[in-house]
Formats: sequence, structure tokens, C-alpha cells
Amino acid sequence: MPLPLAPGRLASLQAAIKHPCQTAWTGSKQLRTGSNSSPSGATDAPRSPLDLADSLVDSLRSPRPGGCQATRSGTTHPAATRQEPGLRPRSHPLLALAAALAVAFAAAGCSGDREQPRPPASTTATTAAAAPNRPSVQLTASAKGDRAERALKGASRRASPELEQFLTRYLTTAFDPAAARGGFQGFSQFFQPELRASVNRDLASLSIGRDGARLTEVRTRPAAARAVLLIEHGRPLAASVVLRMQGTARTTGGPGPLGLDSTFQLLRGTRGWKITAYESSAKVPS
Amino acid sequence: MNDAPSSDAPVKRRAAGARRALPAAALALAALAALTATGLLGGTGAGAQPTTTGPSMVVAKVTKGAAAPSVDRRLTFLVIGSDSGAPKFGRGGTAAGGRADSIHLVVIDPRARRGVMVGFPRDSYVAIPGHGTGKINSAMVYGGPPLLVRTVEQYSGIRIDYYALTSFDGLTDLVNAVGGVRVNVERAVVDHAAGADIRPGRQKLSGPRALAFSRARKSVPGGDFTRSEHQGQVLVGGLATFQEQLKRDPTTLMRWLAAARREVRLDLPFTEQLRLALVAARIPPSGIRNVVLPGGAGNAGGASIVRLAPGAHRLLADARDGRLGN
Repeated sequence: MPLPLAPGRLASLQAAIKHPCQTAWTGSKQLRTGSNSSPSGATDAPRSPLDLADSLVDSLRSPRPGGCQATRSGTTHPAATRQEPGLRPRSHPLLALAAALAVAFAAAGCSGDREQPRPPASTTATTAAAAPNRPSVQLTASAKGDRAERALKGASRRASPELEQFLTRYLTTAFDPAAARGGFQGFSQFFQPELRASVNRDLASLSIGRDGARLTEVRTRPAAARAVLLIEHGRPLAASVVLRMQGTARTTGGPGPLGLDSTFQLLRGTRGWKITAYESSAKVPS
Repeated sequence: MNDAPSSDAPVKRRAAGARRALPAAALALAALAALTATGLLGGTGAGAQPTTTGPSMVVAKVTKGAAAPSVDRRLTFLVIGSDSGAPKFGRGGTAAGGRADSIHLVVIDPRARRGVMVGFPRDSYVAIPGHGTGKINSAMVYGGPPLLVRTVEQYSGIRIDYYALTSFDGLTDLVNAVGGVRVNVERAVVDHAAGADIRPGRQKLSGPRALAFSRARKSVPGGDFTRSEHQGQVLVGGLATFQEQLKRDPTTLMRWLAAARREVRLDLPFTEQLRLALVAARIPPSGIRNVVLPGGAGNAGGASIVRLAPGAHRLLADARDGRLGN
């Protein structure tokens, strides 16, 4: 009889089986503090298959020091060291087999619990179950201008939240499949009016593009932004921003990498920041 | 009795081995199931697609795009270097109230991505609106940059959109602020009066050296004409340096804008400055022709002057009619 596994436990088990590093990582309570977690930092939501795929890609790309490498060299796995000896479940062959069968059944969309059937592993269900993607931006800002270095630092510190908010809103729209399905209405508001024809032309390099409508799930990691602000009389006039973001997205064909690599020149007008020039490339699963 | 232990032992070993093997098999099975469940084996639903990032991921399409404000019309600037308003060089007064030692009419065609930079010898003897005829550099003393603009417009027949005015201090500080400008020096320039001792070759000039190169005239062949040519070389070198830096790091645009706004007086709003900086980023320096109006030495009322030659009108007609570039 398959063990009753909650989706969260299933995900944990899958993660544990998939890669030892993943276990260490999820066990350290540093679950994607940026894009995939709620603003309050709560990360208890069930991890979707896309999260797991994202984690695997992440682990393959950047092995965490002390985690995977230590395991490979024969050191005790960090996950094991964190558990109290008395609480650590003993490995039992039947338990392991039951777990394996449960996972296999779950993967096949079957469950012993007919009252609460698991949703079929279709893309629609994945979309419905997925938590909304919440891009976040980690902005590093410096300033140039007409003041002394210290005053510029203070001015850039004061101006940074608004710019960070602008970039976050930009990414939220640019990487939203629903926005793509809606034809990216309002996306051009991020740009100077004279660029709007170009934005329409270059939509696929600035966002998930019109083809992004067929993405069933999007997961973005915290974006890294480096900005240099031009400050005059204590206020920002313009900024250059280098913005890089990665993530994963799911299509009907499976998950694939997602990315944005952009340089924006921005102007600070009466209506806030607007992009006045860009050079951008976007990577979206096809 | 003796066989019992020996017969039991293999059984125990097999059982222990089975215990070890079962979790491993289960783990492998579960891993397989987990990978299938997450779609990482590529065997889900619509079938596997060709991969680029590994066996688990579908193909990603990369799309690139770029845009910047476009300017469809030809742009004209007057770039002015004043001999005043430079306390670091012992020059009092204001830059706008001094004489214009450096006068360059710059005409750019953003669509064709080329332009021409026409240097006016500072002693050029021309009509100054409201002030008869005189050396062109005195126009700024009479009426500031606006009168100099009108003087050049009247002589050239070219309407000037904007002017940029700087001083000795401004030029040196601007060049230092952007880390120097790369200039191709064709001949050695040694001029004690200007403080120039520059060897030939492509090199980065610091602020003071860029100024010295721009001021040297007494010991260089061609005197004031060569000096004006050198000034044009510094401007084109500045453009090349700007583009090199921008290519390496696009955020340097703010450094250049900040330095220009500190050290140069510009008669245009900031939005237009930003737009022009972005236009400048797309004009190849090789597409800018650096010329000096031809003329000959003369005398007017005991003062040495430059009488511009008929060739000057031809050069200006080319600029006016859009025959730009090299």
C-alpha cells in the first residue's frame, strides 16, 4: 500500500532522491529567498516539478561549496549532520521500497487515495497548482553627479528603492505568461513614448515575448542589477542599468531555461523612471 | 553442529547484502520515478525535443534587440573653448565672457552615421553681427556664446542647433574625469608656451596633456591651422574613447554625462543631452571628417588676422548640403 504522501512531502522526497546537494540545500531553510518565496520569506508552499528542475539546473551549474563537493570527497553530508541522531529515521528496505513505489505511482498520476485524486500531470494542472512567480531584484547602485562622493552615496541610497521597484515591476510584467496572453498591454509604459514602436518589434528580446503565452509556468531567480545613477541637486536624473536574470519555464515539451540580459538607459521624469534606450537579449524555451 | 554455522553464515551474508542492495535499487527506482515525474528525462507528454542545455531541458531560443532615440534630422553644434574662466590656469573672468580660442562647427547626420568637424582659425576675420568686422574670437567678448553662434551662422549659412562651451579648466577636468582620451598624434609636438611635449603615435592623453596638445601653435608647422586641427583630433579622440568605454561598460554613460554637465556649458535640456549622447554612441569616429577652414595670414589695423580662402566657402557648402564624412 503506497504511503500517503502530501505534495510537499513528495517534492521533498523527489528532491532528496534527485541529488544529495538538493537535500542539503532545502534542509538549510534557504529556499529561494528571492523570486520563488513570498515577500515574508515563507517557503512552505509545495515545490512544483519546475522548482525541482530549477534546483537541479542550479546545482549542476553552481555546486555549493561544502555541500556536494564535501559529499563527493567522503565527508559527512551536511543534511545528516543537522539531524538529531534520535530523530533520524533508520533506513529500512521495505520503507524504501514503499517510498519508491509511492513515488512511481505518484509520477504515473495514480494514488491509493481515491477520495482526493491527485491532479493529472498535465500542463494545465501544473499551471493551476503553481504559485505565482514573483520576480525580485537585487540592485547594486552607485552614483555620479555634482556632489561630493559621500553626498552622492546618500542620494543613490535614497533613489535606489524606486529604481528597484521599477525593475521589479518590469520583470513581473515581462515574465508573466498571462501578460503575454493579453498581448503585453501596458508593457510599453516602461519605455519612453518614442521607443514604443521598437519595443513592439523587440518584444521577444525584452520579455518572454508573444510566444510566452504558451508557457505554463515561469520561475525566476532573483535578478541582479547594477546601476549607476546620475544625481543632480540630490535627485536622480538618469541611470544606466545592467540587468541579468535567470530562471526556468515550462512548456508542453518540458522545462527549459529562461533568461534576460539587458542594458537599459533610463530617464527619471515627472512620471518616474522610463527606459530611453536598451540593448537586450532574452532566452525562452521554445 | 559444525555445518550449522557454516551454512548459516552465507545466508546471513546474503540477507545483509540484500538489505544493502534493496535501498540502492529502491533509490535508483525512485530516482527514475522522480526524474520522470519532473519531466527531466524528456519523456513527458509531447515527446522529447532537441536539447541545447543538457538532456533534461528543451531548446531555448535567444532573441536580441536594441533601440535608442532616433534623430532624423541633421544636428549642428558649435563647440567653443574659451581662454577665460580657468582659475587653475590663472585665467580670470567667465568662460562665456572670454575670447573663443577654439571654435568648431560640428555637423552630424545620425542616419548616415557620419559628420564633419570644421575648425575656424581663431583669428579669422569675419563680420560680427552688430559689431562690424573683426576677429571671430572676439564675438564672444561682445555678446557671449549666442553672438558667436550668430557670427558662425552668418558666415557659414548653417543654422546651429546647440553650443557647448568649456574652458582650460573644464577641458582638463573633463578629460581627467573620463580617464583620458585616446588620440592619434601624427607628429611630435613640443611647445614650451603650451607646455606640450608629446611624442607621435596613438596614445591616451591626460587632461593637461590634451590641453597642451590643443593649445600648441608656436612651434608646430601650420601654426593656428594645425592647432585647430589638433583640437578636432582631441574631439574625435574623445568620441572614440567614449564609445570604447561604453562598449566595455554601458554604465559609463552616466560618468560622461556627469563630467560634461559639470565642465561644459550646454544650451540644451538634459533629456536632449541624453539623447545626443546616445546618438554619439552610434557615430563611428572614422565617419567624422576633421577639417580646418583654409586661409592666409593678413593684417587689419595693425593686428595679425587670418583671411579665409575661397576654399573655406566650399567646405562649408559641403557641410551645409550634407556632403559629410571622410
